[in-house]
Amino acid sequence: MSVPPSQRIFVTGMGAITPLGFSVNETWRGLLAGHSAIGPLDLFDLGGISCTQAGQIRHFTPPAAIPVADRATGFAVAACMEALAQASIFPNRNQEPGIRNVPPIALVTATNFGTLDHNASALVNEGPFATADRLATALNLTGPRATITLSCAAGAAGLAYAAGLIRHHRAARVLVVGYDAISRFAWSGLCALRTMTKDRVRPFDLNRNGTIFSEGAAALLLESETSCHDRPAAPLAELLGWGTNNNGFHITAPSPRGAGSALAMRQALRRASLTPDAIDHINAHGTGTKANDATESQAIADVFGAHAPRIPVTALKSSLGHMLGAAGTIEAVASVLSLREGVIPPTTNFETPDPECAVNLVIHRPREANLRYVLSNSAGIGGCNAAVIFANATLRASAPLRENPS
Amino acid sequence: MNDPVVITGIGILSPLGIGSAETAAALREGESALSPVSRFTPPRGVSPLCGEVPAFRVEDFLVAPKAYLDRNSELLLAATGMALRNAGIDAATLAPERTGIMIGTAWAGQDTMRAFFADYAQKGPRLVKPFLFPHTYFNTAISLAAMEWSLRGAHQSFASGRVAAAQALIEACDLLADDDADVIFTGGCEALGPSLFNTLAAMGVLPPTTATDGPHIFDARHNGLVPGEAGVMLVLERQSRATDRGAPILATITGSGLGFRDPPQDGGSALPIESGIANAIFAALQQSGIETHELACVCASANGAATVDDAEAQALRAVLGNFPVPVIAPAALCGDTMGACAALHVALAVLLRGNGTLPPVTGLKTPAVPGLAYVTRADTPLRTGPILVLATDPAGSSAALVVR
Repeated sequence: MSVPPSQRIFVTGMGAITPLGFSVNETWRGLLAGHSAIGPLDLFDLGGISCTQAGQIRHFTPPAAIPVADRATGFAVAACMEALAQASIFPNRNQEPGIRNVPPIALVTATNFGTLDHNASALVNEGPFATADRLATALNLTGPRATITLSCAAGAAGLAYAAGLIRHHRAARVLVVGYDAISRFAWSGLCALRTMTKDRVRPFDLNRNGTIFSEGAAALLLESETSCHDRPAAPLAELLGWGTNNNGFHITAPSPRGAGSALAMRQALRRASLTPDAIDHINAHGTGTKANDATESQAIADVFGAHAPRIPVTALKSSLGHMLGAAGTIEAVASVLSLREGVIPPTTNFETPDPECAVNLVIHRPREANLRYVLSNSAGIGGCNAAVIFANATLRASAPLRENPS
Repeated sequence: MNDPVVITGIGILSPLGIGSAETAAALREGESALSPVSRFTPPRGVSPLCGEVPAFRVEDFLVAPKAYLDRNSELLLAATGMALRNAGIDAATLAPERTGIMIGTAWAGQDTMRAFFADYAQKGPRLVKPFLFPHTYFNTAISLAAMEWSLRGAHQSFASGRVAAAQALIEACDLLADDDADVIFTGGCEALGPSLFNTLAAMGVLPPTTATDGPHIFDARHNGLVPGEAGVMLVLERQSRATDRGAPILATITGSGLGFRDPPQDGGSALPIESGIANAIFAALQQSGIETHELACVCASANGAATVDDAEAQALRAVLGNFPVPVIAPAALCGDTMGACAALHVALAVLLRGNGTLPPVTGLKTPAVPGLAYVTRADTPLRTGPILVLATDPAGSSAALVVR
């Protein structure tokens, strides 16, 4: 089994259903405006539970053409359809002839709780792979399909797995969707772990005291360079580096100095053949918990050393809440948009600097920046870590690629 | 320079036994390890047959005692500890950041999920057990194994139905080929419990109560799958590293493929599952650089459900042509181990080489798809050559690996 020739990987489509909006564009505008997606949770009777705020998606109607049985799948299918449409792929049979006959597209779903709905009726009636099967059927995706369940690192880990599929010529196009819906099951458990705040989510702030969970889906279509040329497809960004690992330390607590997070960033840098000074922006995991933000800050300091103070960092969970299995992919979407538009959305709710979180945080308003390489961090229960690095699509182009009009 | 991925250690707990020696002996016997479920009361209206792992003590394999482990985690942790010993590896000598772990499980800790939510339903959300919640994640078992032996490198958890462990194996091979790790522990786990049994019964995939003689795999009478459980871990590393440390090489994974089907044309339907399986086989054979006639045997994932059995048989008939390559189906002996099946079957393929004989597809009398060399006798010799291992999910995913 020999190492195949390198295959460059591009993002050619993105989709998002979030508490800030039902498209990438709506979500992005909300992030840039510093809007908050957090409000009272009224999906179900909270039964006296103390965690009452959430990034709950309201008034969402799943695409009419595709029947879905649960909220989570509805979010996922809508995000997938937006991503495919941006890439000019319309695999649904109802689309006009001539453009539906695309080659096989692989599907990677990433989730914490699958189709576990807010009534828990699907608790043990089907595994998380059921969503992948439904999506593949609904969207006529006939390539390999996988379900990644790496807790809240699942989205970024799904991108890492998808990148490997393309690199090793196992797929030319992979649609990656991270998704999760708020459920009684998850809500009671996450509240019991004392991870949630009754305040606002304040990543890297001295007075942060927890995160707030939300729901939704975010999808990215990855394509090989060959596929981009052959279709042709317009790249939005290049996925240049990725890495996954485990802290090997504790099931819920991060490792000292964020060693696992640091390793994920180093793995991604190694894969990207970049040195730490090349990174222009970090989209942090930044949950707003005491432990995560302090250790992630230490990890950034350890990996980037003297360069760390100049690297702008943002933590979008301050606006979006923590989208669980979708966190990694929505932050990847934001990273790609930052690269393309030269602007970093702000971390909201920040008031008081914490000496233990000495990162160059983008606060209060968007920051314009000329970005070449952006790194996005993820982590999750069980000690899982993942990091991905995106590059400007044209930065390393070996041949002319069609300009994306969006 | 070609530096293939090799298997240097096996940890295996299955209905066939605990460890490689017991398992190999059971394979030689070729007797079914299926029996009525003993650890809990199965749901009414379905066959109580299943493949249970014999009694074992997880503590015998752990570094430190644990306050709580569900059966899924116990199986994976025991398999990991066993694999380390079998590979002659002292975990303390591994470079933690260069040592990865990847697994597949279709159902994870269903009984923990049920227990956690039972508190919610009976006592309310304020009185759920915080310590149980982290054990309800699908990545719990793999995370516990990573913690137990400081396996801090590349990490992936697949929950892709019956192809989950196959995807873990293939991803591990790709990462090792890329030099992203020195060693990757790769396997799968699936645990039987009342929750999963109920789920499978509700899905309508189990045989009826009247079925008492095991699954009818590849048979025209196929009437459903008999569930099995397993914890399997393989130690994978590049051949050069294994050779450098003087490790016995148990087998080489020479190639692998993931199934894909051509999409629908002009409003038609996507091609059937068997076309995806055939593509996976072709990819695995191509990567291995071998022809179909060189195969010593095919280890199918057929489980007694018509969707899987017929698709694999049709794909094999298309790929193998007239070459009488023996076809076995371990699920006939130990049940359908679902998300773990590919890891189990790769491990069994390694052990079969030592035995020199193939186990029969017990219960096969009249093939639903004729024309294949199904093994029906316990003393069928295994000739020298690579073994093709298949994994097929009824929803359409498939994978193939070649083990030499």
